[in-house]
Amino acid sequence: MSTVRFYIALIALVLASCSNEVVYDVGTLEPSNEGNKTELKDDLQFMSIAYRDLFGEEVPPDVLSTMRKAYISFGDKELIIDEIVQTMLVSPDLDLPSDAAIAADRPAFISDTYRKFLLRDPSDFELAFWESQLMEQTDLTAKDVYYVFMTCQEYKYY
Amino acid sequence: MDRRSFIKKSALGAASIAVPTILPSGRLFAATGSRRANHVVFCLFSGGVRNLESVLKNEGNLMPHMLKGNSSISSDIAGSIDAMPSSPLSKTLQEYGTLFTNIKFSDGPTGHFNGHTSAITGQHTNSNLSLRTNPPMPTVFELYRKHNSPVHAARNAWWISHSNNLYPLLNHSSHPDYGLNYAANQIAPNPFFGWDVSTNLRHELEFTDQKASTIKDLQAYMDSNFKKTYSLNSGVINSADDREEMVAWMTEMQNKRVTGQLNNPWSIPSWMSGDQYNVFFAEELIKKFQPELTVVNLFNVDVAHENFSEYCNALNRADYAVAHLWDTIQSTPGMKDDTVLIVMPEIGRNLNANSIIDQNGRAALDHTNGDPMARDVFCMVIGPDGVVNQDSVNTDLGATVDVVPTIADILGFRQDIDVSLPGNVLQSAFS
Repeated sequence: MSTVRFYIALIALVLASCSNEVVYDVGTLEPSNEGNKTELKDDLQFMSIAYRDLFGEEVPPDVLSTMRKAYISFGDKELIIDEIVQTMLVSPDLDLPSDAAIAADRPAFISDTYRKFLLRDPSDFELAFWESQLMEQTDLTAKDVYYVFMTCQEYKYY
Repeated sequence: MDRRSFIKKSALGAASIAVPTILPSGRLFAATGSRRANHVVFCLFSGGVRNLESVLKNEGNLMPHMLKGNSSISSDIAGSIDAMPSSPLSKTLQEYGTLFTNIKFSDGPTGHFNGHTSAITGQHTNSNLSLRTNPPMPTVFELYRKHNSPVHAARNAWWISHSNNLYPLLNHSSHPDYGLNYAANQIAPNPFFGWDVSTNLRHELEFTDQKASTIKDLQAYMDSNFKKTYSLNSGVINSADDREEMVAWMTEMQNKRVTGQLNNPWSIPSWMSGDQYNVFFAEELIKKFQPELTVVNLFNVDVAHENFSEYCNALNRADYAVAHLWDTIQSTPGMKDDTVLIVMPEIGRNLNANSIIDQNGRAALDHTNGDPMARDVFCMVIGPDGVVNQDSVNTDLGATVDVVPTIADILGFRQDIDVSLPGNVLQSAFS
């Protein structure tokens, strides 16, 4: 082993021993997992599906009527969709996993969240990413994570 | 960081792509012509109003806030006309501008949507006009935005529709050279600020600065894993700053609804009609945003299909609403003395009545193609002295399609429009 290689190996060993961060080297592989989704939900589909995904039941007609009324009544559709997503997330009727439950089994929460919103299991990379995020960002709640999933591009497709 | 700020930050990336660089003048493409005023409010006095009950005063002066004259209301229907508060203006609206009494809806079916489309696009329509899609020719909003100041224009162009029935489609066309990128903001405030939406769409997530940053990073991560190009579903696109102000305004209105502050805010002795509420919200919007181009419509007079006396009552209420609107404009910094208000029904109504008789023995009125009276309307152009001819009446033949070129002339972009407009500027309105 040359001197240069020896020092690189030494530095790597020291860094690894001083840090708890887990580094996943995926090389040149781009982590893409689209779950075979090809069709863009229209906005009314989006609202209905979002409600079902969150509350585990079909959206009641009066709730859908109110959402639809809000949606049709304002021209900036992206803004209204965001309002509706957030309104659902702060609903007192929404049963969210507690922080303690998430901490007790982060992989289960992550997998459940992927299945709930994206209808697929996370890849190993995604599972590891979210697990590390939940460990580092201790103030992330289920509501926050759900908001991220419900506003991501993949969720706009089916 | 509250949620609005978060939305603003989240939208910043997309907005920075959509919004071109602003020139030092504040405009991207300065309009070629000079402006007569910097604001136009176009009130579509809609629902179908005959000249007989408006400017010709066949039933007496049902529009005492707008029209000169104190002729008594016909005795048989007088009891059906609700009392309105005294005028907020020192004189009639007519005296603040020019009244055109011979305006024709000259071509196309005499229906509401055709009438609206014609008034808002400045184009004649026909029976092929789709009720399901945006109109084919550019709206006045798109003409304004494309040829004036696209940087600020979504915030500066508002279409305030009385209802959600068809009319939201009129905030932009399907024209390939215009379309959604030049759309107006559209709102139907009566349903949007109704009780059910206001009580259910008023909660907000709130993020600290640090959490907002974290969530933004997480969103970026999620989207980096999904390679499809996401295109927005149809809707006007506002800048991040404007979106933030809109959320603040809508939250303020919804809070007022929930706390009862919107219960008859004009203190009308009886009750406030849908038209009056629509104008009330238009006023609130004008006070908040001081748009350069606002179009607001009324609709309650369409009760004429089944009740003539209520039609006259709705006309009387709409008359008060328009006077109130002008008073608000003149009380709003930035709009006062720099606004032209145009008031025009989209179509008239039939000379010949239908068979439905109201409580006063009066027959109701439809608006069908074969009746010439359904094509006759008035138009009022109101504005500052020195800009608009004051207290003037013009009987020359004009057309409802004249309003769009007139708006373009007022805002200085008439000669920049590259589509053919059949109408003419209502030149005699101006000093």
